[in-house]
Amino acid sequence: MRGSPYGESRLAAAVFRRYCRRMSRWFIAVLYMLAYVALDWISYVQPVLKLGITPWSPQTGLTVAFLFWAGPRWAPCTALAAFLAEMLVRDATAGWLPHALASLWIAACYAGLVAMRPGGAGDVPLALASAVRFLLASLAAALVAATGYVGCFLLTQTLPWDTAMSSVARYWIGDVNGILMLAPLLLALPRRNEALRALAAGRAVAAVQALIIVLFVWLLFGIDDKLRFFYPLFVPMIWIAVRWGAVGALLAALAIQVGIVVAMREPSFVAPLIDLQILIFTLTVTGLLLGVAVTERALARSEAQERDRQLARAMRFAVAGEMASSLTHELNQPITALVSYLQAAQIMSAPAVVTDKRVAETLGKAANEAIRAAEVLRRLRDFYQGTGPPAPGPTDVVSCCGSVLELLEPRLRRQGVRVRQALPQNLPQVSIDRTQVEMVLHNLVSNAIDALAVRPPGSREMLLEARVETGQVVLTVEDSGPGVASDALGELFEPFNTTKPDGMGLGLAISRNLMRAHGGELSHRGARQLGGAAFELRLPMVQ
Amino acid sequence: MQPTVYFVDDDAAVRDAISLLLSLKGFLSQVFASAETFLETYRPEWRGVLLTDLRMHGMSGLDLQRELAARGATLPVVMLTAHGDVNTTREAMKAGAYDFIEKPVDDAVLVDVLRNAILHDARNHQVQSERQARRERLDRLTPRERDVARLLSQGMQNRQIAAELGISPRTVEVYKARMMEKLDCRNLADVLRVIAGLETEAP
Repeated sequence: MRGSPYGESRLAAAVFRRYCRRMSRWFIAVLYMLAYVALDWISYVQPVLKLGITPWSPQTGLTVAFLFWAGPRWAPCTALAAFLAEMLVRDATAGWLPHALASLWIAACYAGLVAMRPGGAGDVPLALASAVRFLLASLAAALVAATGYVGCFLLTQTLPWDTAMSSVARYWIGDVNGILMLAPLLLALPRRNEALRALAAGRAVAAVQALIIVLFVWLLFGIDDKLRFFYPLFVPMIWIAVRWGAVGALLAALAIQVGIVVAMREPSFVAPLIDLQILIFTLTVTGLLLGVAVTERALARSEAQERDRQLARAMRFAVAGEMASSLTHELNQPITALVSYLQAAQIMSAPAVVTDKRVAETLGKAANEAIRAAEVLRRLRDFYQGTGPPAPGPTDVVSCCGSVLELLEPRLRRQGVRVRQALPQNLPQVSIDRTQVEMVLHNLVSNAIDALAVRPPGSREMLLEARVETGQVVLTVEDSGPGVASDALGELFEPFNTTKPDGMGLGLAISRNLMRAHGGELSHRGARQLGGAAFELRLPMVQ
Repeated sequence: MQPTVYFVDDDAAVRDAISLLLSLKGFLSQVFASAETFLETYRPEWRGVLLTDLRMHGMSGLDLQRELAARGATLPVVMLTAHGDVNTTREAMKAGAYDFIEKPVDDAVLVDVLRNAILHDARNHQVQSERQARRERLDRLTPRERDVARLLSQGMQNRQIAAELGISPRTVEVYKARMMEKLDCRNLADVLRVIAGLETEAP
């Protein structure tokens, strides 16, 4: 591979990447300023009196993304970029001073927007609440920016006063559209690989959707009445948002916007772009919010599935651990006897009694083999003991109950079990690992569901009740089933003891061990309210 | 009373094998199938060592140890534990177990630990009985003689003691001689040892 063109290009790429990292911020800042001027030039359509009051300002989206990435301290770069654009693209119609003031004002407004961190910690507004915050903050910041910008030129009397309102509106909608379309997309760039993988999986759908968008935009300009044919665009937009989430929706909105701006370059086109921009704003917001909501829901679902898998994994591990522990104890007893018998036999075969030396030797070897067998068992058990989940809480018992019931919801519904919950909302947190509490609860609730199967559907009831008692949270799981037979009570928590034809009889044994290992307790008591079995879980509170 | 290994284990084969090994190694032993049967027959004058399994049906080794401690028994306890039973082993040691041996048992370790425990018990017993003897000797003193002994141990001269107790130095001499004879002491140093030992040890 050495010396091949492929290897060299890889090396060059690596060197370049390292260089980029070192220069990173300044390099990106310069790139940003160049891109700003370029975008400003491209989107410079239908301006008011050769000022930067255009109905679409993608450079503002770039600014917001840049400031999010680099931090509001880099606002001077933004001011410089805006000033350059004013000078180069718009020929400084009003003399350099008002343009400089306007540039400073814009930079201050968007630095302010970024400093508020409206998208939450991640800056990419992917949850519904943060998307709404991001939208409102962008609207506010753009309005302030628009008022200031227009104000600068009103004061220098570059703009006539009677155009004030319409200029502010035009600038405002232009900036808002620019921010909404570009900023989240640019901020999501670091995760492009994820998106590309998803795209590769649904290439055909994406192609069809792109085709429909192109077709609709073409239709829009092929027919005289521009606005009436805008509305059908909502249909593909909703489809895209539901299929691809917010990022896909924003890409589609960007494509539509670019299509419209390109069409605007035709000198024959004279329709007011501002009307279309308001429609595009509506379309973008619809796509963004719908997409975010869909993504959020999908995320919640996959989290629930992940928890389910985690619980199942932990349960399997605990079962194996319990088996190893029981096996070790049960086999260790006969091995102990065996080793001692062999050592006794070795003593009895002393040279004075047995003349063949090999007898003592052989007995010694046999004892060593028995010890080795015990060693194997120990290692097996240690493996499961050493790697069990140790991290204690703090864990919220109420939310544990909620997620366990959610996991078992299909079974509860199928069996028609009514679950009553008496859980005080202000329960203190407990110091046991969440997965372990859920595992034990899952076990108790699913035992109760099994026990209720013998009852007629109308009288299958379960009660989850919690209270605080001397530094512990006491959680009771009660059912209206037949209860535990009195002769089975003594061995209820013993391993390999079960009444279920396909059960291993480890659930309760494991559950009790798990609780005891962390200062908790699991015990059985007769049901007080529903007449079946009741299990009481005592969990130590966080100190 | 001969020092004996009292062995409690709920597994018949383990009981049989270990007691065979013990007898071959020259120990006197007595076996019990459960902690409960041991407690039923236990006598405070038993000397030697209690060897008990930790994990048993019914009363555990730890429970047995606690019960014995509650009864004021001084018999050293050696626990038979499964390897890696760190938590329970630590608990047993904290509760005052003399030592622990892991299963399966290595005969050399077993002999070593049991010998040490028996020795420990014997020494412990000797200290106890000496203290008992000293106490008995002190009990033979009259109150006056005891006062003289106490003041002597505080470093007072005959004359000072006489002043303190309001008697003549000559009488102090008489009490002192009688006290020395009863305590079986030849000089002041012996007296100090008897008294000091009791004062630091006695509750």
